[in-house]
Amino acid sequence: MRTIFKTSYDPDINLFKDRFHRLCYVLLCVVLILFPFFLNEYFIGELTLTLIWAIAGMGLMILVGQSGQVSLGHSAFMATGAYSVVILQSKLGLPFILALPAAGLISALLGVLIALPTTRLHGIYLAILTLAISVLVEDIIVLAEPLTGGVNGMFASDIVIFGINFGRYSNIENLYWLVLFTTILLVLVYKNILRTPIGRAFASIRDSEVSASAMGVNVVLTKAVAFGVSSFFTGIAGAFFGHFATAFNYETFNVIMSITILLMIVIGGVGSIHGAFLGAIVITLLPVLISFLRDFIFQGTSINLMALPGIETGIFSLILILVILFEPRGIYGAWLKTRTYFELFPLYRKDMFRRQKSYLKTERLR
Amino acid sequence: MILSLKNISLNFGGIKAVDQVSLDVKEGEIFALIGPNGAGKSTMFNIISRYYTQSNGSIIYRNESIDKLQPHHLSKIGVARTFQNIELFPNSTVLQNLLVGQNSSKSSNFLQEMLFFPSVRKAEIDRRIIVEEVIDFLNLQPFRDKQISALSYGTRKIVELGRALSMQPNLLLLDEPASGLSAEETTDLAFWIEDIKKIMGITVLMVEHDLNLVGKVADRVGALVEGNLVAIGSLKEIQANRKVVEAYIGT
Repeated sequence: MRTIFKTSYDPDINLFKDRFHRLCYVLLCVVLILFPFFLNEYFIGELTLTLIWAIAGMGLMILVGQSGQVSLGHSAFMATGAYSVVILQSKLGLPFILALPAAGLISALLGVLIALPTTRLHGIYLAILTLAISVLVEDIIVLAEPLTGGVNGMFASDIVIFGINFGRYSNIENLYWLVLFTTILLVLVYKNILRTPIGRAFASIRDSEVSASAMGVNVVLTKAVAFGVSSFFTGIAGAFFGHFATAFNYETFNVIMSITILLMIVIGGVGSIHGAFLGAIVITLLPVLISFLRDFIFQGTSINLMALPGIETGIFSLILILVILFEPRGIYGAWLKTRTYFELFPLYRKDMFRRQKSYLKTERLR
Repeated sequence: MILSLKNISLNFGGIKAVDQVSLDVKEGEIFALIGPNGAGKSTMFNIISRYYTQSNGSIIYRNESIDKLQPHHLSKIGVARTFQNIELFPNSTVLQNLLVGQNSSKSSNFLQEMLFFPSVRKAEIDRRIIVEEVIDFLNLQPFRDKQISALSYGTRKIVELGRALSMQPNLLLLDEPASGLSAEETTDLAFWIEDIKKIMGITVLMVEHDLNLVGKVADRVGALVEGNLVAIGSLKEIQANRKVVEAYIGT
């Protein structure tokens, strides 16, 4: 176990605990950047999709993991991002490099607009409301046909930045690097949120709104900011998702997508950036794995599992149930426990991570 | 006068929780509110810290009315409070909890923080210095990086006091700071409250059932009985007051 001696307050503020920690993440980045040189296009495509899901996951993680709000409607922000970026590009002729942040901001605006009147809602009520909004956004997309192409949907042309093509089918490596670069930027923003007052304000409204306001945290404003930042991330993910799918319509961004993002962060581990990425890996890897296994079983036993169309959803739900039952902190929580076990070997105790019961809470003040 | 309550009343339906209470807290004193259960002490606190709005009367803090303010405005004008049942942020460390107390004094907005401007780091270090002083004062060093959910009840009580102190208030509202503490912890608490007044120059208004603690630290004591402030004075005077004795023991 490494011990860090601190001689100033900076190590507690820095992004990385120490040099070793920093080296690990630099190496990870280098490996990720080098992937296109030794993987084929199919896997690069899957990796790109993983990163896009991870961005969306980070978006919801800020809301659920950091601020303690719920949303079952994050597909609405994905849709806003995807439609905004394509409309800005095709109808206004904006270059992608401007259209992408603009799409994020439009989503963020929608998020804030939704948050302001709904800050009094908690838990299941907020979940139902966000669910309703995602259904509403689907309808609005169909109705706003001149802008959105209605039921037929839209086509996203190749991304071009300064003459370089980032097309999904022509230059998938470039698209991968672009998404990777954006992901790294957004991870840095997320880390900055965690180490500054805004992150502490998020955590305070998550844990106790009553004492958050006694600490001078404006609960309504903080919730609006949380929704805004969350939907900004998700909007960016949606913009990339649109370009990755190249063609999409209102059905692309349905309720299943919202639930997928939510499941992703639960499986990955609520409350950590790692969780968003681990969840995204599970989400993109699982269909690949299932189809691989399906072929394998078919060749070995000639049992055709193609005849069972719901098997993906089934396995996914099964994993979720297992996670909630046995490891509520998700994959990242399991990793933390394993790491602690080896760091403290042989002193690890089984109930080390068990939450203590919280003491009596102040009765509702309003 | 740091705080003046003028004819404060609050009704919950037909129940008069607080009835025409007028009270002055002097700059630099420790004022304790005592009274039997249900006398309206915590309600008074919630009115002062703006969680409840009084049906009548007004609250003057440093010559200005705070009737129109909301709870989160109070930290800016220098009023901090603790809660009777601990209201810490259980999933954060002690250090993070204390740092929240410094949130209201921040000069950066969330965009600067998300992009981590150089000034944000400087401000973080300044906040940390203030918080470390509080940690030193309350001997919380062993718990600095511990999660609240891993602490004992007594330590949590102290952390909550620390969180209020890290807001650098002028007026500190303590809602039953000694409830649930051991005799030893209560003795420590008495010293700390004295020092908060003497060294930090903070005015303290507290609600407390432990009359030993009240006797040790309080300059003046007010007794609330069924929403009425029946007596103000030293603890001895209060204990000799007929109405107070009747309220506690019955006639």
